[in-house]
Amino acid sequence: MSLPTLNAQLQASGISRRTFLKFCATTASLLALPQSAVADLANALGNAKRPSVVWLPFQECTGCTEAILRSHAPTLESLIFDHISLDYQHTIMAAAGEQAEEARRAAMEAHKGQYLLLVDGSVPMGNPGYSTISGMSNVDMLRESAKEAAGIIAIGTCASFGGIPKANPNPTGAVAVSDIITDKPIVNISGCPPLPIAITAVLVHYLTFKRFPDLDALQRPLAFFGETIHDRCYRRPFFEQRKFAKSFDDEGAKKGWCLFELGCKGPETFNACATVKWNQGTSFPIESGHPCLGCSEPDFWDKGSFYQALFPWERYKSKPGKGGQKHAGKNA
Amino acid sequence: MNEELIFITSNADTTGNVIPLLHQIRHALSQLLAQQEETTIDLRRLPLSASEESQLETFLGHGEVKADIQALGDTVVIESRYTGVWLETHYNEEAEIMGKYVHICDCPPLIKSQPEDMVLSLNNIVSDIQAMSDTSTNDAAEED
Repeated sequence: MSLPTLNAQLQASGISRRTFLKFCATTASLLALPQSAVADLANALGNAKRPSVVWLPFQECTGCTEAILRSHAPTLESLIFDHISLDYQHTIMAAAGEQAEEARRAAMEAHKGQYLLLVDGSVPMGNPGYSTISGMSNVDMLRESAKEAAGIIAIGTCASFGGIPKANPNPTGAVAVSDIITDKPIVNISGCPPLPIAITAVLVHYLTFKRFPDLDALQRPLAFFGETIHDRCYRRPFFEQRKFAKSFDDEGAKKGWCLFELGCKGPETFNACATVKWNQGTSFPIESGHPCLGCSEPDFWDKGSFYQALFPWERYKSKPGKGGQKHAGKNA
Repeated sequence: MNEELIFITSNADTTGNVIPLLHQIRHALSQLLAQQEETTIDLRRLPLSASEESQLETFLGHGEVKADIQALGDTVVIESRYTGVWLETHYNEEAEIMGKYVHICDCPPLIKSQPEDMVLSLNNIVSDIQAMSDTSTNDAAEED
């Protein structure tokens, strides 16, 4: 089955080349690519075949899907996402049951070795009956779908690390995608939910360079997970000055001081929320007065109270693994 | 990146990067004149404090050209008072800044009409002229 190029798709949708160039410039910046590469990126991406994508939602809350698809207006991140060939996603597709499964198998057969597999949600290993789709266990569906996939993008903390389903006592025996599939390139875009632009940027990188971007030791794209929330937090100066909110309604909180002593996990959480932000760039949790929960890190649910300080302020400088050293980079 | 570096940069009100950046722009402008070599500097990737960004913009100032482009949110392109040095700012639909660049070139790529768009444009103008001709012919026929 031949798929049209992205250029043809964009033209058919009335998206101008100028708009596409703007998208490429912004994405290159997000991926830390040189701006001199924008023209090449636009040419390679524009001539890339519209990718076939099979998206498997397993043990998940649909929050990841909502984050990506609930844009009220066309956005830069939706520009690419609207133009992939999403051949299977049983939460949003019209078909259901066997009809939907036929669509999945047909797409996998037609694009053998070329389709991308997106997964959100963890995989229950305790009992196959905990989560099934059309009578098929999640683990069987994952193995079947991964077999001929070009690569896998694990969307959200559940697919990346097990997430909330894996939290103690892990009643379903939840595991991450990478615990099951070990012979395919996998990118983890963690977060509860993950940043939509990170997913788009990884897709752009894959379509342009035919490989996933550079990853950290937890297989997350370094362009988005290379720095902590704390590194880029606008409240960081208050941390240095030891000006902390002690409760959610004290003077410090009202003055916008650092939320470290209210349990902020920003110093140990690698993600780009502080720069990319949420809801069309409106804000991120700390900007709304709530500490970072550390949702893009493994086992974030089981690391003690969300509202206890990580460690005494004085210990910060001597604590190992700060500022990107914790998850040294590697290439997928 | 290491912990010490983060502490040093975050403590500083200024990064000290404005003057080196201006020298980079000067060098790029001389390269443009000597070898027609264009340069783009991505300000988002540089450590600059808000006041330094403002200082840079004030230094560059406004020249003769300002272009507003509507493409998934506004893009504003301003030629600085130094001909050949352009400041380009991309906004999204919510007017948030998505990117900010300094181009050293004779004309930033986004201002130029794109060949792919011109092909469509030619098709459109042909069909629009045809539609106009058809309307005129029909009107004339009705008058008769």
